[in-house]
Amino acid sequence: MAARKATKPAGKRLTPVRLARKRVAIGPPRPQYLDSRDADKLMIMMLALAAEVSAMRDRLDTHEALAEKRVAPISKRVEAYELPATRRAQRESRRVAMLHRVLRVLTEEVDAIREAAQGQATQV
Amino acid sequence: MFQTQHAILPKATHDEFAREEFCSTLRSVFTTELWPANSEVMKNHLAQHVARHGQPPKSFREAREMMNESFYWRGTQLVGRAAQELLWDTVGESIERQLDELNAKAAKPLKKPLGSLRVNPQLVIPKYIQAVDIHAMPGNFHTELCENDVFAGALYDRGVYVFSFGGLGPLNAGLGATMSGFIKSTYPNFKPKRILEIGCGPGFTTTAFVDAFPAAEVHALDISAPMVRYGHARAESLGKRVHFLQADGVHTDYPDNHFDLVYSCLVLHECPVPVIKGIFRECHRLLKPGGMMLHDGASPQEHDVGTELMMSFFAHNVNEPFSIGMSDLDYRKAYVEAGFSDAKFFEGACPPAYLKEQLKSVSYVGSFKT
Repeated sequence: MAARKATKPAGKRLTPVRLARKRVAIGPPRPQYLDSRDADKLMIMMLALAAEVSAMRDRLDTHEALAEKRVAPISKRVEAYELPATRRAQRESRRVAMLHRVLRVLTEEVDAIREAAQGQATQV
Repeated sequence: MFQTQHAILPKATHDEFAREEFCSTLRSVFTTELWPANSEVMKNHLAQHVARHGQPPKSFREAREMMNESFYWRGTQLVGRAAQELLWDTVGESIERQLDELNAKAAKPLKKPLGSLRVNPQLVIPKYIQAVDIHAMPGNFHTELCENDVFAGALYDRGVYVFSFGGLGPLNAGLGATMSGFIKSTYPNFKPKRILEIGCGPGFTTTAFVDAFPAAEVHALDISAPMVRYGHARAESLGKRVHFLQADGVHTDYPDNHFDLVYSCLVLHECPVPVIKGIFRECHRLLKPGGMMLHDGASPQEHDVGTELMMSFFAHNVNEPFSIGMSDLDYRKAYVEAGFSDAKFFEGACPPAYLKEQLKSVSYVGSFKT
């Protein structure tokens, strides 16, 4: 290495010679695992996971609420936190927005129908 | 609005509550946005169907096949089903954690009980109840997990609140309040002294009737021991006098001519037609002459297949198989068969207590014993 370095003019950067790591294994194609009923199960699991993400977001919101009151968010205080109605409503709006993002692919058909109807209305 | 914390209502941890809140939001988005938009999708597919076949679908099956081409139609049903499963599992986990405590609380004898509780360990649970978990609620209404169990009662009380995203009010009283309100406004001179609810569940409809008729002696029965145990503890904690009984609404041990009012709330669509007819006969036996029987439901109406399809969500996705048979039930005829006079038959309707986006109105069907 030292000898190679010595042949390069000082201050000039090396051309990267390292290859990117391979991300697909050579061999038979990936077996097919799921059928359409499995896809149904996946959707149910995906929404259960969304519940976990949402619960974590709410917990973070409790941490923020405690921090705003200069209270250290230790477990006991998180558990004892009394959620005010306004903050609960904000969480609800955030969950609705999250669901709209998560379910975007599902609502594509309706979104397209509405967009077309709106387009027609504008033309008229 | 939070659910009223009575003594037997399960208490959720921070994260259990957060997961329940997610279930409520999911149910709300499904009910108010996703499902109703299927009518827009249907309009589109209908136009294509007519262009292709020269006519709209003639049968329910044809209409369903047409809609099954839409990912939105299939996908929203799956989201609705997922919400239902997630809801019971989420609420169930929280209740199971504290079940020993809840059971002990419910079993603790009260010094001065207002009402009473009769449980019948000999009661045979009918096959139709064992065969299918209504609402896809695992264990259905009747399953007992241990001695003095209240699990199903707690699950339904908390679950219905989450399911309806609080739409039935902090005590889940909406359905009972609407129905008792209908009686009072339609028959202002009708003053029942003794009332019976059939299929009372955790008693949130029953306590609404206690409020509506404070002078009456109120009784409530359910096939499920966990329901009436929970219902008793709940009613006592709320200071409402109710006499609970575990019994099959088709055969009870109350004497003949005993009640002035016998009613049910959102129960009949969970029963096969022969059971519904058996309940009508039992109501007739139990009522005093001049007494009123009242159930919610609807006489058969002409629907186009599209409307039928939009109304089919519960029957086809969340284990309400009997609601299909019930929608064909001719109440008027069945009431006459049970002994009621045709001349006394009446129907009425109210705006729905919840699911306002899915239901046009709640209809009531009643009669007086002559």
